[in-house]
Amino acid sequence: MRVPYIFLVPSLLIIFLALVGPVFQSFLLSLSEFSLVNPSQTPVGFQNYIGLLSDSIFWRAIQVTLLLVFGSVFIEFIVGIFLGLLITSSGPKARTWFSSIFVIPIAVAPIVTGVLWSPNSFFDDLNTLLYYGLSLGTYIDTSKPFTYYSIIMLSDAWIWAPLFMLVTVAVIRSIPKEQFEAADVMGASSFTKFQKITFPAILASPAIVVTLLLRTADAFRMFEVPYSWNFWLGQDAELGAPVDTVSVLMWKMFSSTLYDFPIAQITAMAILLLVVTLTTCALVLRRSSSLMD
Amino acid sequence: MMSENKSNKSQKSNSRYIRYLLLVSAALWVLWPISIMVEEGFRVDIGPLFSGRGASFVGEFFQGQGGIKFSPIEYQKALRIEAYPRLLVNSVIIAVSSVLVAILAGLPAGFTLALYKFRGKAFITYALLAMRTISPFAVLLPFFLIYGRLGLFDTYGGMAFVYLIINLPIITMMMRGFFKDIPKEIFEAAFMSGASDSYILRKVALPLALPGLAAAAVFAFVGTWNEFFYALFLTGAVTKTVSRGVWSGFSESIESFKILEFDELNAGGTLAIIPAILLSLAVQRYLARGVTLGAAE
Amino acid sequence: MSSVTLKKVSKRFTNAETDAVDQVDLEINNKEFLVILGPSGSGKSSLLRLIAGLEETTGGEVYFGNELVNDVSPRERNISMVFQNFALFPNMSVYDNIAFPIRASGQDSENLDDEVKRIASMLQIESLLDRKPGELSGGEQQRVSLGRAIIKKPKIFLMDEPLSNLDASLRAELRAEIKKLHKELGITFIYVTHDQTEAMSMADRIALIKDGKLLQVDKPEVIYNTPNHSWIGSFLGMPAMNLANSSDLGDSISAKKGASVIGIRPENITVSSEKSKLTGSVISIEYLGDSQILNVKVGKSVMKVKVPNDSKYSVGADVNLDFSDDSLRFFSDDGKYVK
Repeated sequence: MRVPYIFLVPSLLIIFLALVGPVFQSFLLSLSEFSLVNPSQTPVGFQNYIGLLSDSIFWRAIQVTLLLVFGSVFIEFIVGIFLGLLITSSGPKARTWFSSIFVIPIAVAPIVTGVLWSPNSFFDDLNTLLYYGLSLGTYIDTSKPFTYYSIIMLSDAWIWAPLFMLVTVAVIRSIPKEQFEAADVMGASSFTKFQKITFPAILASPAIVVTLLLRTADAFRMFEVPYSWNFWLGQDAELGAPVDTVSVLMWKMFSSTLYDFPIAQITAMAILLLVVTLTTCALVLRRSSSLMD
Repeated sequence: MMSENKSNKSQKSNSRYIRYLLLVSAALWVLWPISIMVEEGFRVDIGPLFSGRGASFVGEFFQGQGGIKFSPIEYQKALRIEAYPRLLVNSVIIAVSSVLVAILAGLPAGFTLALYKFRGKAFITYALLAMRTISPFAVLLPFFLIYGRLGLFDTYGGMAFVYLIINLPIITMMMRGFFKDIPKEIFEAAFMSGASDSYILRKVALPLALPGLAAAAVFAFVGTWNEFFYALFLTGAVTKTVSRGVWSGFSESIESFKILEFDELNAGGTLAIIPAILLSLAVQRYLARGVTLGAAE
Repeated sequence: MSSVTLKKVSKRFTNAETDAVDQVDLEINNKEFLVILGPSGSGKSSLLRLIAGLEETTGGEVYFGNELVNDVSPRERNISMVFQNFALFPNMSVYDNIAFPIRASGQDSENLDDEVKRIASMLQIESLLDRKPGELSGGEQQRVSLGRAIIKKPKIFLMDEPLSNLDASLRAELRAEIKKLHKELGITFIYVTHDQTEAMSMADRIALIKDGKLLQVDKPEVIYNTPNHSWIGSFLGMPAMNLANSSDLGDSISAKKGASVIGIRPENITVSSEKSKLTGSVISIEYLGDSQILNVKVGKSVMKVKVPNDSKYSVGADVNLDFSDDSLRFFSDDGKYVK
């Protein structure tokens, strides 16, 4: 069959102009000394990377990022599977209504999620209730790292657990009905059926693995929610604040270029992050059973 | 026998109640934050119900003086013609033009990816996957520099182009999936009839995948509408979008960055998510395909 | 010239361990009705798709007439194909479906309307022209897809299990009609099926394929009567040919040199009242309506014997089996036919 290569030309053009070109230029920039104030580029080899790797603020950002990435993805994975099981075990009417409600967060702009889960909205009410309403004399202090890390993870899970729910529902639907019928005939309890049929099918599903991979890659570039928290916590001026993910750190350096911050170093950081993205995407392509058929 | 049956029955109805309890609490978990945002936009704050004053427990941060008196003032302020409506027009112009370009480029590419095996297929799929997943910082600086040089900074064209990074992978890969859903014999019959690829795309593939195209376009539109990062760096006074306006104020000029009143933020956020939620619910069947580009199928 | 010649044609799918089509040599004559018959997974559909150009060969050559067509796209091969699932365009009316090949190749002419109507009346679907495929029965849909296939006057007509999605009575009806169509069009038909009744009743010649290998190509009666492989004997016929090790049958039958397996069709065995070549006991009886099948245990083998439907035998009874020596077929250890 003759492949209509001409059909690919516009897309390839965009891929090169909007992705490959800029990434390549970013890479070149990361190998040079450069600032917006003084835009002439002098090549410095891997100096920017070395500077970065010896910077404790960078490592701090890596720690925060890893914590938030794995924490969020883990929570949304668990919650999503739970929601998926809940949905599939409900009647058709409840299924339609509740799954429509559950997917709403996917549509909410991440920056709005930052607002939604901000200390002033959710916890203001909750704390007032705890402190005055129930007269417990105690409250949740959202300025404590443990609290806000948890909340940031929860808010990311709030957005993305529904994705795992959708994939889980699809996986459960694809399990042949005969398996459950056979289990029924043998008198298996619903827990046994879950343990022996549903759960292994979910874990073995390439769809779940691929979703986990993609969500992990996405979480590495998490920006809006930590960005807004950064703001609530009033620490947007200093570098290395406790909510600085890699992205927020880059943003801080970027928005401070007027003070001649090392902009080439930002690009170096972005390239390191890119390595994570590209590796994960390669894994996705390899593991997905549907992308290349 | 009888009693056993009975206990079985009550067990069943018990588990039903538990299930409903779980469903409702999960729905609350989803809806509560949103409903607080909506109500705070109306300057309603349940805090004073208990204390007569808002509690300030977030470090040193200033707390909005809420009350239980309903006031639509923030929504009225946001809906003034030079505020939300102006940004809405910006968002729509940028998103629609970007999605249209993505359709023009992505539709034939999705068709080819769905129907043909060829060298370079893995590269294109991988590139689209990477495009979807890449951190904006990896391309931001070149865009910043080039847009400055070409005068594309804060222009509709420039923004529409940047958002191809979001829209092209979505349109191409979602359409690829919708074309894959059509039995391949239909295409083979068309090939054997002597039809050219563009004739098959126009007369066979597209009509059959039209609902899919609508879903992909809506999904891409919502993605662009919600995008904050590129808007933060590449829009200015002219092309400021809704999602940027949520944070920096709908009617504020870009330069005068001021800390927004909390009620104002909430009213803005509410107005920003309404269209996105309505559109997404219309295409909810395809959300997973959209988010994962069809990799999780 | 619309003959088709395959020379050592092979196809191996990516990641497959064996060839789906394995070095097939086949000559299909001009205007012939050739049926490719084989069990599911035998590679018969792959073979047809190689002829169509929908799959690329991984070895060998495909000729149409004298022209090598390996690199000719299916669009330019001037062939038509009918699929098991009909593959009609669901968004178009019956009329537009039939007219599609003409419009698609830009030959739209004033005659198109007449042509569509002529074909529709030939296939008895004139009354359906405004309907959408989804509103038609399976049989009607397959008629439409036949119409779509013949409008562009192909040199070769390919059919991939066209009747397998239909129920039995429709199948018989369309079988006769396709045969008639072949006569009227006077072009080469290549027809893939797993159904031996279809193959026997329609084919000028049958090509039997198993595990990607072509076993025998010949007229239906030749293949039926003298299968060149014991597997063909056991695949064709209802019930299939009896196959027994010659040692199991005792020395009343003298096997040919080099042959170890003896085959005989159930209808070639008669039950005789006198002592004859073989004796056995009836272990079960299948009543088929027009006939009965006796399962007779002879030595270590079970022989199927076809007897008239009014015969009275009972399970457990001893019977004498007789047959003429001409009806015996001999096969070697590896299944090859021994002359």
